[in-house]
Amino acid sequence: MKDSAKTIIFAAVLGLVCAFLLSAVSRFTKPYREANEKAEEVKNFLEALEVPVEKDAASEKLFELFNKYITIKELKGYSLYEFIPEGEARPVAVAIPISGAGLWGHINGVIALEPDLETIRGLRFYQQEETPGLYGEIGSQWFQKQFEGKKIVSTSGEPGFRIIKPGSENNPDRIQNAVDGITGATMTSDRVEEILDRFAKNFREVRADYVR
Amino acid sequence: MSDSSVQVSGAPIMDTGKVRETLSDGVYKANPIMQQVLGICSALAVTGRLETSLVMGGAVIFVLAMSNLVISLLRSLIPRRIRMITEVAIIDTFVILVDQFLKGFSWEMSRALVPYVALIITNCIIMERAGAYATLNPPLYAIIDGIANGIGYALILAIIGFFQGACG
Repeated sequence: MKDSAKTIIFAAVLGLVCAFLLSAVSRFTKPYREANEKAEEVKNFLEALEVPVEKDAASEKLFELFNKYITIKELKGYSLYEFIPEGEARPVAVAIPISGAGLWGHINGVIALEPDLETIRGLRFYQQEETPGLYGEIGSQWFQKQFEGKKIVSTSGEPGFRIIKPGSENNPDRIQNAVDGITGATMTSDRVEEILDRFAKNFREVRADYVR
Repeated sequence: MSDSSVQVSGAPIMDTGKVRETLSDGVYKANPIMQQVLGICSALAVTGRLETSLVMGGAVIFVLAMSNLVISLLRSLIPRRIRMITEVAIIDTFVILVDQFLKGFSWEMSRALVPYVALIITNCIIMERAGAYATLNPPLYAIIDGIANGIGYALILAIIGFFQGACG
């Protein structure tokens, strides 16, 4: 009896000390972590929009570019991040945040479209918790690169997007609005497909308003 | 009962012979990766670049030294029945500390090491040193053992990282 009481007290005290220490450190590092996450987000927006950014640019520089070139427009519940380069009157690209459930956690990304709001200019997933090296491949360059120049409508004009088995890209219907999935990461590929497909379908309305 | 292996009463605080032995055991003679075959998984995973190897090595040295120190300090207090979970809780705390600091102050590194820092928790070197050394020896030796084993790990990582990085 005395022994188990001692065990419980020890566990409780240890738990309290560890918890206190961790929350203190978490509080202390929070502003720094959030600043880094914000910078990562801004960097991905700039990259997707193809705003010229030097490699290894400091976060101040990233924010500066973002504030200089990007204007945010609200339209039917979507935030449109317009990239208007110097000397241009109209945006040359528009980025829209996308997000949804991945296999293990939340996926945050950004899709940049050409001014027609149909053609993909760039796509980035900058926050995800998929299995590294496998499902986490959605954050890799080769995967994201595939989307460039694809459309979020099919050749017959239907909005939507597919992620298909690698090797079936000759299917004529699928050339325009489909990319290869990741071998061994079907479930994550499916989730990403769902995020993009839903975006393509819902965004159609916004597009009608915007392109007028 | 648990601190039977070393008599500290009356002896000088540090016995240089034992210190030297502990150091050379960890770094070389009983190198955790080469001799004890511990911590292999992370050693293979993070050695793609020299920088990541060095940061990972540094993180392991820190966690190993601190967890060994704390476990050694508490060694007569830790109830036997919850010995393992206590060790894990202490190790976890330090690993999360490292993770948070990397996220706050070395973002690029934390991105490169995403899963591996958290996996230090399950790095067998740390559990093994906690169980086999820290619970039996006084704090000063435990911290030296932690640092020595950490260096032993980091050294191998750096060597592999150097060649892997250089060869692409």
